[in-house]
Amino acid sequence: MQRRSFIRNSSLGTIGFLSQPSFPFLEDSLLGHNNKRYRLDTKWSKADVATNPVNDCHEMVQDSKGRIVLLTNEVKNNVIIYDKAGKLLTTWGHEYPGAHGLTLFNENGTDVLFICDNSRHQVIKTTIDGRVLLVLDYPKETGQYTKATEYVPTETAIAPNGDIYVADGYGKDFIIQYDSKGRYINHFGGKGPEAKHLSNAHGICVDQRDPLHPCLIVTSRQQNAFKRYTLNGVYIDTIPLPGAWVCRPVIKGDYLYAAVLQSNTLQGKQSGFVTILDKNFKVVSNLGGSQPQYVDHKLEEMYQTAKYFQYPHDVCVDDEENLYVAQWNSGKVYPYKLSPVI
Amino acid sequence: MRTLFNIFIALVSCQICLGQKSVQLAPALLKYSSVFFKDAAKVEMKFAQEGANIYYTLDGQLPTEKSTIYKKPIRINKNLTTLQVMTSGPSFLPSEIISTTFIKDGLPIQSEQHSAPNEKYKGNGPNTLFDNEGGLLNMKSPTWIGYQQDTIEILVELKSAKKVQSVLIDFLQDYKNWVFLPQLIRVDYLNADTKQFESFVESSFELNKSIVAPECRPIMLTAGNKMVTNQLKIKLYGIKNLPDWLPGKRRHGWIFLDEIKVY
Repeated sequence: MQRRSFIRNSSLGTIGFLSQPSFPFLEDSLLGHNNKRYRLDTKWSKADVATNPVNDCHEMVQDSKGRIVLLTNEVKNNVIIYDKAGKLLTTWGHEYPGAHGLTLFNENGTDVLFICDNSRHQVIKTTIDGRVLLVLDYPKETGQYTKATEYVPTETAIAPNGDIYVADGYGKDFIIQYDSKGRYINHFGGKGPEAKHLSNAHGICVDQRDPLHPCLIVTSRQQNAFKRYTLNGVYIDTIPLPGAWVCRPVIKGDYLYAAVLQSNTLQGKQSGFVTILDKNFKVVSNLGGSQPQYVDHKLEEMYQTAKYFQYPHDVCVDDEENLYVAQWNSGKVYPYKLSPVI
Repeated sequence: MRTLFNIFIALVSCQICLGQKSVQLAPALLKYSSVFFKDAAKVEMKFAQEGANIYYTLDGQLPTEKSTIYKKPIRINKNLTTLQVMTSGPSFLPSEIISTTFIKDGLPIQSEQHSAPNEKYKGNGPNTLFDNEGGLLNMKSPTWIGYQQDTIEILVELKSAKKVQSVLIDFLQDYKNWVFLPQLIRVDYLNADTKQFESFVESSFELNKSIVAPECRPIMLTAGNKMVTNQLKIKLYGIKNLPDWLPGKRRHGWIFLDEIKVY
C-alpha cells in the first residue's frame, strides 16, 4: 500500500555556517517573481523611536492626499501619518489600545477611517484627523452575541453605497453588515464545517474589479484561504492558498496583495512573506516566499524562503505601485517600503 | 564551539558597524508519510527559491555546501537514520539546519496495553504505539498518547517469543508545553521458565537546560544480553521535582510517546 506523504515540521537545529565569505545585504535584494518584483527599503520610516514609537504595526492605507496612514496599538500615537518618502507628518490617537483594522473610505469626497479595536470590542469611524464620527458596539442585533467580549473585530470593508462590513476575526468569525449609519442589516459566515463558514476571518475587502459582479473577499486565515461572498452574504467560492496564513486582501488595479503572517509549516517562527494574486486569483509572486507553482491547476504549498519579514500583517499599495508592509510582533519595527523593479 | 561563537560575534559586529543586515534563507520543506517505516521511507524535499540548493546528510554529519545536493526524493531504509537538511544560495546566509530521525519497524507486536492516558491525548486506537504513524512535533496530533502522572506502565506482547536485545520508545520533548522525557525508564521481560517479569534494561535522564526547540526523541534502550521473550513490561517514571529555571508553576510535567519498537 502506498502511504500518503505530508509536509512535515522538523526540529530546528542551531545556527550554523557563519564562516561564509560575504553576503549581499537586505537593501540589495530583489524580492518576488514574474512581473511583480521589488526592492526593499527597511529604513523607509524616518520617525524617531524616542518620540514616536510603534508596537505592533497592524495596517496601513493611503489617503486621497497621497499620505501613508499607519495604525499601531501603541497608544502614544495610534495613528502615524507619513509622506511617501517616510517623513512623519503628524500623529493622533491615544485611546485605541487594541488598534487592529484600518480601512479608508472616500465618503462623498471626504476621507474617513474605520478602526477595529480588539481590546475595546468596537469599530470606530473617524475623520482623517481622528475626530470620532460613529462607534459600533458588539452586534447583539445578530442574536449571536451575549456580551461585548465575544466580539473581537479585526477588519472592515465599505461598499460603494456606504454599507459597512465588519469581520469579527478574533471573535465568532461572523461578517456583520450595517448601512452607512451603522444600522444592522445582516450577518453571515461564522464558525463551522461548511464551505461558507470561516476560521479566523481576519480580513475583508470589496472586490469591484468586475464592475458587473462586485463581491466580498474574506480571509479565513486558519484555513489558509480567501472566501468570496456576494454583497448580501451568499457564499460564492473559496480561493485556497495552501501554507499561507493570509491577512487581509488588498486590491489595487488588477492585483490582490496580502501579507502572509506565517508559513503553515513554520508556525510561531517568524516565517511570513507577502503574496500577490492576479485578477484570476492565481498567485504570481511571493515576496520572501516560494515561487508559486501550480500542478494540474492546483497551487502547491507556499512557504517562506528568505527571512526578509518576520510577521507581516498588512500591505498598502500606493498610487505609484510602491508597497508598504506593516508587521505584527516583529521587534516593534516600523513599516518597510518596497519599490517595484521594472 | 568557542570558535564558532567567536565567528558569530565577529559577523554580528561586522553587520552592526555597517548598519546593514544579511538575509538568511528559511529551511526547506520535508514531505514524508511518517518517520516510522517498514521497508523504506520516501522523503521529498522542497525549496522553490531561485538559485538556492538543498543540501543534506544521512550520516550524522552537519550538512555544508559540500554535502549532497537534493535532486529527487530519497529512500531511507537504515534504522535510526537522521536526515539533516539546510538550504544555501549565492545571495543569502544559509538556513538553519533541520533534522528528522527515521525509525525502522522492529519485531512484530501482537498487542499492547498501557495505563489510562489523559482524556485529551488518548491516541488513535489500540495500535497507536505500534502503527508506524507519528514522529510529529504537534502534540495535538492523535498519533501521541499523553500522560500527566508520575508512573506509566505499558505491557507489550510480541507475536511470538523472539530473541530481544533493544527497545525503542519515541517521546516528544517540548519544554514550552511542559512535555519532558521520563526521569527513568525501566524495562522488564517475561521469563518463560519462571513466568516472572525480570529486569531487562533501564535508563535515566536529566533535563538539559540548553534545549529550546521541540523535538522528537527516540530513546533506544539496549540490554547487555539478548533474552528470549514474548512480553515486555515498560515503566516510565515522570520527573517529580521540576527545576526552578522552567517557567510556570504546575504540579506535573507531561510525558508524550507515540511509538514503541522492539529489536
